[in-house]
Amino acid sequence: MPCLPESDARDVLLVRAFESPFEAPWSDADAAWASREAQRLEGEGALPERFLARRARLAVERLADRGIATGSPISFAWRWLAVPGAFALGVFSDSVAATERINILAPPLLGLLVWNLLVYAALALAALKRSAAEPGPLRGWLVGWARRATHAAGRSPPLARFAADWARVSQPLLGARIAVVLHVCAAALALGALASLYARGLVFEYRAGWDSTFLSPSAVQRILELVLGPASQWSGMPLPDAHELARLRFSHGGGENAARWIHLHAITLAAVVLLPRLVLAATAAWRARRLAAGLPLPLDDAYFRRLLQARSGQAVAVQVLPYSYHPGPELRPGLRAALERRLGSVVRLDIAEPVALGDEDGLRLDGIAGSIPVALFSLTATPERENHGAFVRALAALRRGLVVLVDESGFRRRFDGGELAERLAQRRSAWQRMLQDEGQTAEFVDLARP
Amino acid sequence: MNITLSLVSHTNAGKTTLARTLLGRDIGEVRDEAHVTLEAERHTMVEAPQGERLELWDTPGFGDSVRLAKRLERAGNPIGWFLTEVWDRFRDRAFWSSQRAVRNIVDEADVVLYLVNASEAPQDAGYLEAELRVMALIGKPVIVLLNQLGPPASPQEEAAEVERWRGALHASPCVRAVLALDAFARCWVQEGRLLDAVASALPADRQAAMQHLHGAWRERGRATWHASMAVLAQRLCRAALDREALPPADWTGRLSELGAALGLRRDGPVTPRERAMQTLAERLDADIRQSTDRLIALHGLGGHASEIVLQRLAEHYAVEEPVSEGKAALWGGVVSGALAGLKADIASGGLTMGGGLLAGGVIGALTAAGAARGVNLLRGVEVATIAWDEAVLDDLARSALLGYLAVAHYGRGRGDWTPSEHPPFWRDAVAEVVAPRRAALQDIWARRDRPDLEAALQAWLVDASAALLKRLYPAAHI
Repeated sequence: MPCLPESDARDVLLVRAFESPFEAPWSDADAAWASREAQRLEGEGALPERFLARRARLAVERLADRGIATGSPISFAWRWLAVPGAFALGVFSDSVAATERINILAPPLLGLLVWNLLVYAALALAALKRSAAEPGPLRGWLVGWARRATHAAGRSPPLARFAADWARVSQPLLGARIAVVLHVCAAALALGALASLYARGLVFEYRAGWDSTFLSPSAVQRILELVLGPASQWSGMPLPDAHELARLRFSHGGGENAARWIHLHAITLAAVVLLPRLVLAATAAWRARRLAAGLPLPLDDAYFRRLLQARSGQAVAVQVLPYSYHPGPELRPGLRAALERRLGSVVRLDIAEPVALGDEDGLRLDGIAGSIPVALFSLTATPERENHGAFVRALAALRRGLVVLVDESGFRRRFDGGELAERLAQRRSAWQRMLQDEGQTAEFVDLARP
Repeated sequence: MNITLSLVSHTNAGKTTLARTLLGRDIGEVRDEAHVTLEAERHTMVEAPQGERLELWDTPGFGDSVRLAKRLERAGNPIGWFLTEVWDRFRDRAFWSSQRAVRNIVDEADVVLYLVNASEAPQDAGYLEAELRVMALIGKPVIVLLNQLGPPASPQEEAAEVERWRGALHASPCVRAVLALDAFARCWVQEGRLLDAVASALPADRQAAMQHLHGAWRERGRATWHASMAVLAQRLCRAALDREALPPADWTGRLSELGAALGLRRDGPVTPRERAMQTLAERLDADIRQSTDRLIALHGLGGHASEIVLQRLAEHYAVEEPVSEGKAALWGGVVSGALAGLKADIASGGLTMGGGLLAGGVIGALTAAGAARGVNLLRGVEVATIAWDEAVLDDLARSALLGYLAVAHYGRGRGDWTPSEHPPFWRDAVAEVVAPRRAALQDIWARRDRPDLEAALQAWLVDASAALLKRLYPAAHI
């Protein structure tokens, strides 16, 4: 899949939203101009990506001149507020329990450790199960939220289409950026908790000790060895034995000066939370950077194929499959015109034998490989999920970039008169609903009027 | 003895719409979508005085017909197997709906009315062959009705359309007849042909009952028709007798006529003559609306005549008559003109001789078109009155016939009545029917003070409309 820098990818998708089908203020004349200009500026031998990016930049400038504001669909400024917020939360959570006593069993610390370890396990599992680009639940929720915010930004149909396309294409990038913020926040939270301990340790004396209804000193010793053992080994600060621990019960005296415990906790948090989180954040940041520099675009879809074919001066091959419809030869010019308008390029038309109702089950495509498939229906037919829907489904499964045309000429001829507009609207919406369920959109054309 | 018709078709061909039209009442649900009707429903179309009933079943549509036909033919005892199969109503709506339709035909139908969407070409209706195969398996007689034909077409066009479908259907042994019957725009005389076709598809032991039912149906249609002609006769009679007094011409009136004649005028009627004409026109307007509403109600339709009815009427004049002369005629060919003006002038001694002559002369010249047609400035003892000219009344009779066609062709399934475009061949047909009856009509207008004016008009309208229906539907018995 070819890759384009983020801003170029955005431009390309924006232009596509205005070009398939053409929407005001953009026209096929503009499209032809943009292609010509891009070809001239980039030269004959330029890579397709460069041609597309240049063409899109030119088109977006022209669209901006016509008042199409495309600004950033979602502001990301909030992320840098989240980090100090997490830090403050860390500071605050510690000072809430501000009794100058440190429980050497440290339940909040244990909680923090367990939470982070669980997150690592979940991330590892996710990495095994699916590609890293797919977000987990929290990140997925944030990505979904950002997408909805983007959707709300696009009001007109082309802008809404662009917002949806962009949300889909930029999802890995957005996910990586959100991952950076989440990892840095987790690190900041731990740092905040430690900073609070040290800062207050300067002016108060913390006493460290423990108490338990159920645990014996030897059990406590085993727990401490598990949790703080590594930190003790690295720092050379020994952990107390069971005998000494028995003395450190708050109920047997005031505990001891907490300095070594604070150090041990700090080392453990740094090792389990701070460092790994920062490494993960850096990885995500690197991935985001790489994606921003080259976002994969599905350039093999019908639209791009057609643009690139038109650039090389070739006609675009299309294979039209009428379904339970025998369009007469007099409709051929209209069909050609509709397709050339839709695809913005000269087409090489191949009209297949009509597919009979019910024959979609054994559907095969004999046309030229790489041609764009076009499903052609007549609006006089009532759309049925079991037949028309099944046909579209079968065709979309065979080849990508399906174009769906619904010819209104027969319907218009028959119902010309006072109620045409109303009946036309009803029938169109029935077709649209059915096709929507199949993930397609219909283009309604009057083939009798080329 | 009851005779039962099952109305079946591919989904969304408009069964419920046609059933509403045939029954003259709103049943079921109508939406442009597949599988709207889910249960078969029985309705009585007509009841004979002898006690027989003609019943119409509105059924769910066939769906996914090609697969249905293939499966039925593959199975050993196809129909029986299909009906004992329990389809999941929600999982496979198309099949479930087809099963309901088949069951209804098997259990209930004497004759199947199979509706097709004639807006599609027969070769594009891919379900057609499969559904005929299914019905052939059931073995009941089938009458094919062409629906969704669009606005009424001339007899020749309609015959061509029927021929096209007949060609596509000729290989099906179960098809007994092919008829055009659009749920939106059909006429009661076409329903008579439908009942004829039903009768010929029935076995001998049911013929007597069918005859009674056909008689009752025909009586009902004829009664509505006669009642409609009575309503229209009343309208024409009132228009013929309507009078509006012209106030005695005075100074200011004459001055404003002079002003109007010289082109110095405000909008709207300014002269007494124009005001009188407007009053007359407003009464006619209200009357047309009211009688059209009665016609709509007589045909079992809802809704009211609207502005558009009158607009259509005005368009009709514009098309029928050269504009300037037509307008003069529409406004009653009023003559106040030179003589009337001059006489009043002299009597009142108001204007100078020259001024009075000038005013009278100009106005007289302007209304010359009306004057030339020999108009009805009727003089009473005290005041002059104006009335509608014969040419206007002729046009009213023609537009009454057109209006009748517009209401009588309006299918109930279409909802409340709204005026729609008249197909151009209606206008020609009306002209052709009226032409040989023009003298009789002139005779009626000439003696408009006779007591049996309304009866004479009704007789004329019945005769003309019968000829009109015969011309539009040559095969129909009226």
